[in-house]
Amino acid sequence: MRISSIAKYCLKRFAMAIVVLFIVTIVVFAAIRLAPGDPVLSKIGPYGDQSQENYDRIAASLGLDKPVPAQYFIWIGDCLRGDFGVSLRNSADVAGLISQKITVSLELILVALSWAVLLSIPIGIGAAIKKGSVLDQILTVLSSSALAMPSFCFGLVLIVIFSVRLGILPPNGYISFADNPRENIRLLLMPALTLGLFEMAVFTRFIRSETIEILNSNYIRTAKAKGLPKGKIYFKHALKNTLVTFITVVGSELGTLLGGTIIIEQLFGWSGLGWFIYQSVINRDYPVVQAGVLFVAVSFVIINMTVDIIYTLIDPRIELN
Amino acid sequence: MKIRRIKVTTIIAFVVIFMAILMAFFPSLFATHDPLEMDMVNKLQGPSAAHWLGTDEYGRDLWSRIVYGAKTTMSVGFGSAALAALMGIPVGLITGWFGGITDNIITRFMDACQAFPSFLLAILIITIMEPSAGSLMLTISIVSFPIFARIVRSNVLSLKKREFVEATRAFGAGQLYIMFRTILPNCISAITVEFSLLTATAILSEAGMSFLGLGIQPPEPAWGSMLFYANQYLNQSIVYMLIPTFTIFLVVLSVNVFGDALRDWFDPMKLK
Repeated sequence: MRISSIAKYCLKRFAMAIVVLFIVTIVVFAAIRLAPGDPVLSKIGPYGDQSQENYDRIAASLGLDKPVPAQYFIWIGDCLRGDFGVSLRNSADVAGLISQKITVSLELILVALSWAVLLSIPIGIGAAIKKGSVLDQILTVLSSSALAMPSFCFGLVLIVIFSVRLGILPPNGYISFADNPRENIRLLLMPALTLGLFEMAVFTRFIRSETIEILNSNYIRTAKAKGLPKGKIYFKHALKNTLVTFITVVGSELGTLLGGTIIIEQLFGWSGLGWFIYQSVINRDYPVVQAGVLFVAVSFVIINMTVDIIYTLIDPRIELN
Repeated sequence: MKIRRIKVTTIIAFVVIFMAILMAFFPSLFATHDPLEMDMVNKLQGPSAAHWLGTDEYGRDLWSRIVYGAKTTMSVGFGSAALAALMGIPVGLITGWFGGITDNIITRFMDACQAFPSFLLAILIITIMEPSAGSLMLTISIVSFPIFARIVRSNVLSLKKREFVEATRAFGAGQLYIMFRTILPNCISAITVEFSLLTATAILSEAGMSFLGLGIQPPEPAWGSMLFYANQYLNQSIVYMLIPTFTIFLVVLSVNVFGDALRDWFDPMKLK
């Protein structure tokens, strides 16, 4: 009974994701068509052959002479085969460029999320257990403050302290871990701290309110009435249930951050996916923008679908409608 | 009606928001200098009697630029939230009330919009338009209206089963009448709270977009674009960076505190 309803739910969730992905591709396709600048003219360049014949020839080679719906399906077909075209700037393969930038971004995101998760769980639960105490109030003020600042402002403060004043950390740049592990980590410290601080504020708040709700529930009251030791109640019964919902929050945050850390990557010169897409927008390198944005949105949809499905699998109480 | 105690923090928050709005409407009452007046001799100065908060890279008075920037930043904040409400409320009402296929199509469309990191979507939209206060408002509201629509939708879903809605229908009221005159007034609390949250988010988005150079263009002062320029002079003047940071922080925090107070006020059961 339960198994079949789970299967049904997964199928329904999958179908929903497909529909959303279809709309996503249309939005990306339309956005690039609406963007200013003529791709044919930018391909020809200011010193190229400006004649009408050459224009038509290049337009045909880019497939722009076909009707718009046909262009859309050709593009989708190419994407499905993993062919995202070449960068207008240096004719490099877009798929290769993007996948290289993804690992750069992932390093930053995973480090930031890890320390945020590791710290926010004990802090959030502690604040929930000691609800209303001075410590809890201080933590609440701190997390509200972190959320009221533009996230990059904390990064600016870090740069002032560690680069301008103390001069112990380089203000920006990226060197891959394989080339120079030490420099890679030195450069990673400040962006990861900045990004993680914001995430930590979000997570701590969530864990605190979730734990408070759980601690007020009947089964915890029963556990207390049975005379179970406090540590066991908090860290076995309560924690387990908090973590189930927490996984979904971290998961969807991961989806949002992939390509969404533009400002922090730009501020610290961490040349990840967000930074790369932003630079390509500025340079009007549309094949890169198109592929980058598509990748970001598709991975967001897939991550969220997976998170939803995992959530229903691990928590048998979820109603599947 | 029972009188509820108002917290000190709520009053402070209200005063901060009120002052910011006052500055936005009557900047000349507060400013000590012309915000565009340059004075290269006294550039990047710290706070002094002549310049309360110091000067920027062109020797312009920072306090006066914060005051005049209030107009741009606050109008982007409130304007985006208002536009988002204008788009989101009808969409939420329609999807919640009609349900079925209409709801399904529109909600999937909003899912798709939210699949893009909001900042990325904003950058895409801003490249199609020219960066300005108006396009910033439009961009932020397009990115955030689904949040509004979802909240109104979930409210409508729970309200439409209630007896008073049934009763209105039994009296022969039309669908539009029920949607806008019966259901909408009962969503007001959720809408007000969301409005305040979105205003805060919009002020932060203005800062972010301006920081990337896609927001308010010079010489017009705005808090976010002040940060953009302050970033380039970090090694010469730290005060320059701290002033817009602190201003944004104070106003956003106040709007959030005020929003929380509104939520408690509308929903006193949650207070315990």
